[in-house]
Amino acid sequence: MPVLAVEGLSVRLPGGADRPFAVEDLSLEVRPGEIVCVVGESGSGKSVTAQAVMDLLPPDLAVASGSVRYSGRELLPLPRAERLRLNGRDIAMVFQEPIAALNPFYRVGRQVEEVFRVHGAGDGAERRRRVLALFEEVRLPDPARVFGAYPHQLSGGQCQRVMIAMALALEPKLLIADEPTTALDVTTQAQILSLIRDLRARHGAGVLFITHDFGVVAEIADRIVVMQTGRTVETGTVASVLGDPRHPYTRALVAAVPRPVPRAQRAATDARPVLAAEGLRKVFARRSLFGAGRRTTALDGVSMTLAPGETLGLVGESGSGKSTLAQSLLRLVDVEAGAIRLGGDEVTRMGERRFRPLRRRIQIIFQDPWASLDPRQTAVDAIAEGPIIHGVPWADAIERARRLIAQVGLDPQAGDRFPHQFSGGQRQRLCIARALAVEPEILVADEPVSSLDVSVQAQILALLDVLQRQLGFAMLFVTHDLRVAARICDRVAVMHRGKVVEEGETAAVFAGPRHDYTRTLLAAVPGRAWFDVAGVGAGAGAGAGGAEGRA
Amino acid sequence: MNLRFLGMKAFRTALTLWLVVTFVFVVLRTSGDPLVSLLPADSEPEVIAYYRTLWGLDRPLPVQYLRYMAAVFQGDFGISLRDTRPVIDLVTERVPATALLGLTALALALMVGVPLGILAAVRRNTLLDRLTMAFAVLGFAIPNFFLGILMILTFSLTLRWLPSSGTGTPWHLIMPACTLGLATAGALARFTRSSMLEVLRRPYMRTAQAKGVAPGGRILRHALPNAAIPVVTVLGFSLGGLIGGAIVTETVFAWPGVGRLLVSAVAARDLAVVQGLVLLIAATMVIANLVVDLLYGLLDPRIRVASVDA
Repeated sequence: MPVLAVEGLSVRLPGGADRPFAVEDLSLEVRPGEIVCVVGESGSGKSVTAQAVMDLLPPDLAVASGSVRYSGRELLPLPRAERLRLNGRDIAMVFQEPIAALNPFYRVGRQVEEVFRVHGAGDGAERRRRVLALFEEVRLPDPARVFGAYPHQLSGGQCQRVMIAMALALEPKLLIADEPTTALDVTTQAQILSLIRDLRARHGAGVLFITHDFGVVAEIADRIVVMQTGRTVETGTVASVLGDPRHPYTRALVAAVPRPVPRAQRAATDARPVLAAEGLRKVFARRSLFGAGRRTTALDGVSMTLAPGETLGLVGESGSGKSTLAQSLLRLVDVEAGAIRLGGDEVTRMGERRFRPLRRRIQIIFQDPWASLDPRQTAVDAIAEGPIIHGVPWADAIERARRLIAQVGLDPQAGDRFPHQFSGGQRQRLCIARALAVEPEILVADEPVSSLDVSVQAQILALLDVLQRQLGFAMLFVTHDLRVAARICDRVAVMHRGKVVEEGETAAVFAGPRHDYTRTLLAAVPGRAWFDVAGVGAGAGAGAGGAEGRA
Repeated sequence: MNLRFLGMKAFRTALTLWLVVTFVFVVLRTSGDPLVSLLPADSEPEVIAYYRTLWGLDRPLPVQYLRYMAAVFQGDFGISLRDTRPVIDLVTERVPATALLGLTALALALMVGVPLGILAAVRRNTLLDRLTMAFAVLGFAIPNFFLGILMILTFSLTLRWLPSSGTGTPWHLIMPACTLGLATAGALARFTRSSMLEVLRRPYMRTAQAKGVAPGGRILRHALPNAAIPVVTVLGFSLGGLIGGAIVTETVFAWPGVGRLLVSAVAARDLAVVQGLVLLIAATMVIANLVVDLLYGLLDPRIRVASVDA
């Protein structure tokens, strides 16, 4: 008997939404010990499906019809209190942003213990013992110490392990994981995926795994359900859907997954670098209200050069110092030692007044296109502001803005709209247009596609490539995703703990990584085994076993 | 606890108090001759000169200031010009009445405002929510004196349920405390509501529901402690407001506290008493803010516990 059987489920959206149903006529099944991946882009209804199963729907969404059976028992007609009793005991959930999903007010041990307390299992000492055993099982270092830690004291990966421990506490028969690795670094993602596979094997629970990334699907799924705007478009086993996708939408999603295959090499130039840094050093001192401060070395003697028209990838995980490096090159962060040269100008300690006219030459786009546009400025105004500040006459600047809007692939008529009237991908296009409006020699892109769906990612990367060929700017591309770096960078610099541990042409680094850390990063790329089988292998190092432990 | 932090806080507190004392001193000395209002209008010039010398008002302003500051440092706030008793005695015998009134009002405000704010947030966009918010707006829109008079008219003169003025029994406390606490209750209800709404949207609230925590537990154990931080800020401001409000409320209900003392001292240009009282009010404000700052640390582990690599 399937542990979860959803049949003809429809969830109604509030009036005024772009469609009547968030989820429409959805059917799926999860059998014990099986991992079923629900795949789709933002807005496809995959998270709403999970929420409907656990009675976690926001108040403005309601189940309109259908059936949800847990181990043969129909859940939808049950009273809320009854369904709440199933939560945590029979069905458990792991969420996307582990740090935000834990209550900042309580120690994490207590939060896991609460599952036992709420469901009346064991006394105080017994509960603590069981939590420590769970922490051990999810491979948290020093369980006793983690038990007494607050969420903010743990890393994202550690918080996700705590969440998984919490979900497993009462050995639920069904585990729902809603994008559990999307907010994590690649190496942490690989560890969490392997943990979920192991635990499934050991506890025999069914897993409903939600993701937008087919690379992750290839790593973990037994069966796949592809969703588009609330409907199922394709279902099948991993081999059938990945090997031979039938529906055009599935094919598009599969094609959008960035392969860890380096792009074709472009001719190197011997021209003088447009940007160079030497021996940069930056230490952040953090003081806390109670207790001693802490010092973190974000940059530890970092050097780099960027030639005209080339793209240098800055690759590394959170805390590696890559964003600090990008910001210090823009003089948004001041370094303690080292030198930065922008073209022929030494700018390391140049006063802001003297540096301001040079800012035109180096522009940045950020990770979050939602937060980096002023909500009260129209697209044209946002783009024209930079040129106007740098002395371009108003009418010319507006005209240039409209031209750029067309150039980044948006309807020129859309220029008078406000940021909230654009989608995430469109906003990132606007941010690119804004950065390019002052005709910079260098574009710094700080994780520009990390918050976007894979299909939108592919479009933005293609756009950056085309624009670079048309306009000839050099690009410093900061990313934690090697697949993305492979797609767009001529050279990559791998950063680890404030140092560049390896640098070279992308193809060379991918083919023969010299540093252990680079090899670890390459091995952690989700979906490697699938890429290898599919004949698009990276040709580097040993692949991570994607199919181990599959039932 | 970080000693440097405490040192900075103590220094700022002292600096604020010094500025307040200095400001009040300068304003009072330069805004008219206190002897004119204290002594009978037809006083002989010799009498006026006598008192001027006695109280040191004939000396240059800087000298008066230095003497005053030196005395303040020794806990001597001077002698009331009106009834020649030490200011410190006059003030300390009034403090208990104001403290009783202020703390009762604060307790009332907390007991009414916070639960109403929680209810309004949980029952967002319902009639209950709208009624609560209407009450909150009304609470801080109605001036103290007006509400006080309205209550006296209703409960003392018409219904004859409560005494209209004075002190002595718990019945005497009801109307002044309600008058004083209503505005704070309104502010607390509003801030609790918006803070709760913010917290209820957080992912960890969904986690609690996914764990199977019942609605009551989710609100009291998971939402409220996190929502409390902005509410505590309001509480700090409110404490200052309560003392300011006490000036009017005590006058309306003839409550024998520092508020009434201040009103009469200002009317009589009793410089020493006014200075002493303003310093007391300022000190209460500053200390309330210090307590709030320290409470943040206790309430928010992110402030209390330094981030470490576990």
